[in-house]
Amino acid sequence: MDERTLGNLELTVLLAVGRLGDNAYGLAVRRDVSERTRREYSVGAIYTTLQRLEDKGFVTSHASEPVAKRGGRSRRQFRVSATGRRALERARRMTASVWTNFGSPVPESI
Amino acid sequence: MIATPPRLPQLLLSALGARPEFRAAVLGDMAEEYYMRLETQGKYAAHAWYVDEAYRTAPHLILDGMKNLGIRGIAHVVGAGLKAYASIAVIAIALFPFVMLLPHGITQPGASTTFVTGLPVTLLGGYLAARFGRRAPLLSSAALGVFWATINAAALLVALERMPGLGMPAWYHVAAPALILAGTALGGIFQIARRRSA
Repeated sequence: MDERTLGNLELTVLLAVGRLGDNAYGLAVRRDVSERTRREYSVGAIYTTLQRLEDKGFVTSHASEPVAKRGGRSRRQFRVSATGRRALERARRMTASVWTNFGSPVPESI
Repeated sequence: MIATPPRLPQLLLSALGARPEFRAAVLGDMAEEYYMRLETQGKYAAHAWYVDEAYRTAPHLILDGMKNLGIRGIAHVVGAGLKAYASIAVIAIALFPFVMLLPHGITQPGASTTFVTGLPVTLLGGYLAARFGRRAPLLSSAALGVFWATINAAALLVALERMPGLGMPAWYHVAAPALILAGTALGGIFQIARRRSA
């Protein structure tokens, strides 16, 4: 079983990549993550996280055709890999497990 | 005239030694967002966003550059800095007798003179370091700047201890390392810009 873990930002970015499907490239991922977390991440922070996810084997990437409005540079498109899907499933199970038997809303008594 | 993302931040981000695909993805995203902001918010807001984003993104490109360089690459950067320092040392040794001939030595007016004559030397140093360290030109200039400023600060401390009557002004202790760091960085930027335009 693959035991490589996901940090908070890694999990958020990986979920964004999964949600965006064929449109998962840096700018779109950054918008999605910033909207959901209400925090403005820099372009560099998002790419560093995407790179780390790729190094861990959770996403794969390929370059698109050059785009004029990017100064002729390609987009780097990302996809969640099979390892990434397993990591997401594990993270979901772990989150559900740590919240088990905990009242909602969070009890005043704690 | 069609506005384009500001050139200096682009140049600096390109010169931080990050992997080409990482750099292209980051600069591509920044350019794409710049043009979106240009349409909706205007030129000045788009420019301001780009400059701010460049400042926030630079550390990530430096980190990627460091990872990309590895041990051999870091040795290359340090080697380029030292090679430039050796070249500059020859010039400094040649200039030293003239500095000592100044009427006030390295006292208040003399320090000002040293400061003014030192600027082109630091620019040249940064230029040479960027030229020697082509894999990561700006990091090479920065390596030279840090090394040189450290040597300079140590030399000033020793000079003060051994020659208390030297009469070196207080501002010189802060201004000299700052001049070295800024001058070498500017020299590096100039070399990169020159290479790009060639």
